[in-house]
Amino acid sequence: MSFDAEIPMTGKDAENTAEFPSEALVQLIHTQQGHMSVRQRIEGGRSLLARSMWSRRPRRWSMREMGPVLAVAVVVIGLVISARGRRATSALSVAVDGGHLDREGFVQAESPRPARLRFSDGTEVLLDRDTRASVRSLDSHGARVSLAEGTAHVDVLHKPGTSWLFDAGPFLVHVTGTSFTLAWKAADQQLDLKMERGTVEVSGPLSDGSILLRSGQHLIVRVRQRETLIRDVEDEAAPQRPAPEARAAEGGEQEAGTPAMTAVTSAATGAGAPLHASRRIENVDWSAELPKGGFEAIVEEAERWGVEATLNKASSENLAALADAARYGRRDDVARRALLAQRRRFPGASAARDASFLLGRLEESQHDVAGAIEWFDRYLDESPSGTYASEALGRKMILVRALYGDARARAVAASYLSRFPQGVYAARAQALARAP
Amino acid sequence: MGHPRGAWWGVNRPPTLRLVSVDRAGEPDDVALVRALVAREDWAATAIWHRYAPMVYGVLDRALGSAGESEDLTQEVFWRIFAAIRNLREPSALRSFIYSATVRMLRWHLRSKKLRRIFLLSNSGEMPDRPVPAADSEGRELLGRFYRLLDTLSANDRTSFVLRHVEGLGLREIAEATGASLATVKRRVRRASDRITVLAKADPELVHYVVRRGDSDDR
Repeated sequence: MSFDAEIPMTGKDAENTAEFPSEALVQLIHTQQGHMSVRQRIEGGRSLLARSMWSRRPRRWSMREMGPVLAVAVVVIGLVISARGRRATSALSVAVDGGHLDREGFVQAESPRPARLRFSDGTEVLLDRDTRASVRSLDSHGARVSLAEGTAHVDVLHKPGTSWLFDAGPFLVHVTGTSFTLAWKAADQQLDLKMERGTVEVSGPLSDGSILLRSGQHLIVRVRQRETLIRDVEDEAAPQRPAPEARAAEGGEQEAGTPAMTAVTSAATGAGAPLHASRRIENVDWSAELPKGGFEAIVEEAERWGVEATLNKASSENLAALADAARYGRRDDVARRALLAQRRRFPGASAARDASFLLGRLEESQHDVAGAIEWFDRYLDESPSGTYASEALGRKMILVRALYGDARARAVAASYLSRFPQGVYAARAQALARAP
Repeated sequence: MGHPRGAWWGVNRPPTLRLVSVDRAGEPDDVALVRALVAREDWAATAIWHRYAPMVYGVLDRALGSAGESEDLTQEVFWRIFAAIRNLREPSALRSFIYSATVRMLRWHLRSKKLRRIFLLSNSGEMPDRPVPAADSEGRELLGRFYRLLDTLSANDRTSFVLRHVEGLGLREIAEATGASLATVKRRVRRASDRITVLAKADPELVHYVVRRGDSDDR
């Protein structure tokens, strides 16, 4: 049986259609009922796993189900309650090594070494120095740990029914059994989650649904910049780019006579670290340095060389990296120039087409709604099946609604639903399509 | 964005860096999820929950008009699915399997409500619950009236009525989901529709939402 395809009504079917409910009432039901929130999903999933089939514990009946039985056999209820009491399992306990709890309940490290939370089930949470974290609740299946600031290295011991929650600022990380490093920078409003093994789900701002992360993935969310990034840890640890000579031998793009690039150490390309002063635009590879986080250093280097000169000389890859670095570093002026240069100098390249979408996002962040729609349209024209097609059409739908109202947005919503029925904007598009 | 894609210097790929719109790309398909669940891998249960819980919750909430009941029942549906997953012969039919389980749970719950009413556990047969989460008071009032009318139907009639008129399923799909014959489903939908129409016409608010659909429907 498939419910994916609607079977059209036959004439006989139509005869069975009564006068009620009207389309307007059905729309009202769909608009106001049946929308499961992220929190309902997270908490519901947690409860479900706690009683999953391999938990080996007998099923716990709810009071709702027991209602009729209550009315006819009170004595049975007593037996059930008694049995449940006997089956009750005790909550986990936690001990703090190398730290203590302060008045507000936060764990404070006592030595230069990190503080360690040791839970009775074997789970450990290592807190870096200057990290503020607290244990909000404990039960027999896990705990809820709140990370107010800093970095926590988490190793949840996987057992049947295990379920842990980690709060990091406005984000909620749901864990069943895994290892990861979670960091929250309150001042920068930045979440950083690096997976080592297992899976977690992250919910919070900037995503319509929760984000599922698997081992080897690294999530960065910058709330202020409204950026959500996922990349592979394996790629971050990839070997440095071969020396130019080696690349030339491999038929690479190195131009003859170009001085060899200065070796770039990881320390030199750390977040915010200044890049080597002797480097030249023709030799740098910002696209390799960007994932290490040196956004400001990349923009500063471009400014040191002169932004205009850089835009005229940089490769397509470096222009893209510069635009990204500028966007992440909130230098929208430089980002816009880099993206426009990309389109001017490398027309037809995929990076130039992507630049249209990113220019749309830039305009949107500057509240230039009409300008943003224009860029999204351009992107959709140039890359109808591009990486950002779903995002561009979804953003366009929202902006058209804001600028022109529901009537015009409904057409965009219909287009979105026909192209991306499972897309992240599908729920909004459906609501819009059904709105009276 | 525009980082080089594909081969990079013929040796290494560049780091993957992309704006994320969470989608299904790269996620395991239903077949893989079912196999992992049968192998008792916990992550599969989590993944199935997050993939299908909104669908199950949506059907239940629209049928019952109660977020609290729908939350409980959604968990119950998945609990039973996980327990019975080995009975699923065709893993690719997971979605239909879950949908059918949802419909069965809905009917079972509606029958239980009738039982509660018989035993006078509450006047309405409802357990204390959260109100309908409507965004505006007018809509909330209207939906409250509508769900009170639905409460007068039998479990089978209400299930068929909701699947037909609210979920928009075809009659044959309803027959498959409920395990009834097509003729039975037609009878149930018609009986429920007639009754609800009569009651709605007597309701000063809902009467505005009763529409004529042509002489062929004017039975």
